[in-house]
Amino acid sequence: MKGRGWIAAGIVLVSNLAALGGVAWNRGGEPEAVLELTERELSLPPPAAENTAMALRLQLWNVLRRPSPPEQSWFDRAKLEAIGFDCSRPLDEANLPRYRATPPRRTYAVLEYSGQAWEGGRQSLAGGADDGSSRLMVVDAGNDRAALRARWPDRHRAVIVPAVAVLWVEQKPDGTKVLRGRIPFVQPMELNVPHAHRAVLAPLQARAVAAGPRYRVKVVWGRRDPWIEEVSLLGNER
Amino acid sequence: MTATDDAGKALTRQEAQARAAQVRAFEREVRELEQDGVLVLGPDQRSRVSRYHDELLGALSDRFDVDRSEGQRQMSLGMRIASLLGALALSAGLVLFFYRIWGLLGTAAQVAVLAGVPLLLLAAVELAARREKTLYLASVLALLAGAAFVLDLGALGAIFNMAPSPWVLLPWSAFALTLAYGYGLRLMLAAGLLLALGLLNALLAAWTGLEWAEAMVARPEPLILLGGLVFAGSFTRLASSRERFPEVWRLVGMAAVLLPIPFLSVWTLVFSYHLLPETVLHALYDSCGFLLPVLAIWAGIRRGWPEVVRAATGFLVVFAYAKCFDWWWELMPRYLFFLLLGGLAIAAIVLLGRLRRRMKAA
Repeated sequence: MKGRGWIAAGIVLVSNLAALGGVAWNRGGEPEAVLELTERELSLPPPAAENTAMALRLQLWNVLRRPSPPEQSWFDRAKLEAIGFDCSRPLDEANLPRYRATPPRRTYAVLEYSGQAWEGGRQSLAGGADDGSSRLMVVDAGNDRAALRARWPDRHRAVIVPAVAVLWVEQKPDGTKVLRGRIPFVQPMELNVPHAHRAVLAPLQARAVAAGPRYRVKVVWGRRDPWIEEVSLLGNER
Repeated sequence: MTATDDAGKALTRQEAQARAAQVRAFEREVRELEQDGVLVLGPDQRSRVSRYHDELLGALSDRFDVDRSEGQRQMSLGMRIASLLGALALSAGLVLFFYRIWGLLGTAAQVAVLAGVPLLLLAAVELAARREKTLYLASVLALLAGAAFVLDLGALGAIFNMAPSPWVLLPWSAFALTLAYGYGLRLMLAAGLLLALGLLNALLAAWTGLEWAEAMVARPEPLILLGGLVFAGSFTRLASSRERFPEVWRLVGMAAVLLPIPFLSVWTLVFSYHLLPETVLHALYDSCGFLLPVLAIWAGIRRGWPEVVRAATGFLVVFAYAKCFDWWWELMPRYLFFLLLGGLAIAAIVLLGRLRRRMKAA
């Protein structure tokens, strides 16, 4: 290969080494958080004929399914402005199209597992009954990761993750409109199951989802990205 | 017989192909002149010209693999289309095959396969480029190597749950540009330039705090300026160091300048960064949508850039129709709208016909 091919090969090698170096750096230091989640928070998709990889999909507590979710009532105009949304114009008919066309912004979100906010939301919406949905809830957002960690210090219950925030106009029952924020998704939304843990989950893929969670997953969030550390079966699945 | 032009300068492949076409045209014209009795070459003259052309075409064919006949030219066109379609199909096959097997491999094996395939394909590109002057196979393999490299970094991101970053576009762009300049592959040049434009637009969006993956497409205003820079880049030594590369720089630059304009003009509210009042932006993009392609057509005719003239004309027609729809669709009955469009098309034919006659007279 002449110089032309070597340079391209060098780009491939350097990129791969940089990516792997990033992985080592991510996993090297003190973890950002360690959470033990279950099938409620990390769902297992059915097997796909064209894709043999296995990834668990992160499920956030009913954020999208319920209109005007009280669990995100903290995401008000002030929080939107702190994240960088321009909310300076009055919320009237003239400015409504502009607000509706506001593009999403990058920020950080705090995901709390089985915390007070989830307990409160469950009480208000399901009358206290456990409907089997995710206990992982977005409880805060902001551009300063360190400030968020200071507000949510429990690293075994709360994790701070890169997220996308959107502005939306909520119409209340009395017709008044207010600006709200929402976290439609965090990153990443899928966690790859390493080959070593596939054997635990593979038999469950073809079976129907049970009433309760069938497995527990220990997820470690490193300096930047998460990974699955451990997978174990629960209850009757053992 | 050496493959040089009249001044003794070494020919490029494009010039060699043009010379071969010129020889074919000359032979056809001599036959016509002989049939009409205008010119009759003696046996000696005919034999000398014929021998000269045979040697010339032989030398051009040996060195550049030029098409010696119309049939060969048509075959070459077919090979170009087939190589593009083949490269796309092979790339899709490669990606889908990896998705089919990667769950069966351990992490180390996944990483080795992902990094190894583009390297193997690079070796194959080199081998093909050494054996074949037309580079059809090399361009297919280069595109496949590019797809393998995109898969490589994309799948690494998925395996290690990495949050997406716009910086991934940097190695992809560098890889495509390296192959383009290394082997003279125009398709890879276009891909490399487009990826570089995407990277800069995404970085700008990320810098302003926007969700870059969406804003890269939904906030295209910076592309107008960046596209202008790419177009200007066609005049640099970097662009002209390879045969027909300035064309690609011009086309990519033009696409980046012109394509955002219809979206910004019709849906200013949705696609703009709003650095100016909306009414000003609306008027600005309406004007740019008509003036920039006209300017490009004028420059293209003067400078002899047929690809610029064709692209700008196509854009002007699409933009004019888009604006007619934007202005009048809601205001008038449908039949009148389409009659008006037809009338505008006829007016354009009359106008262009007059311009053509004037150019003919000049």
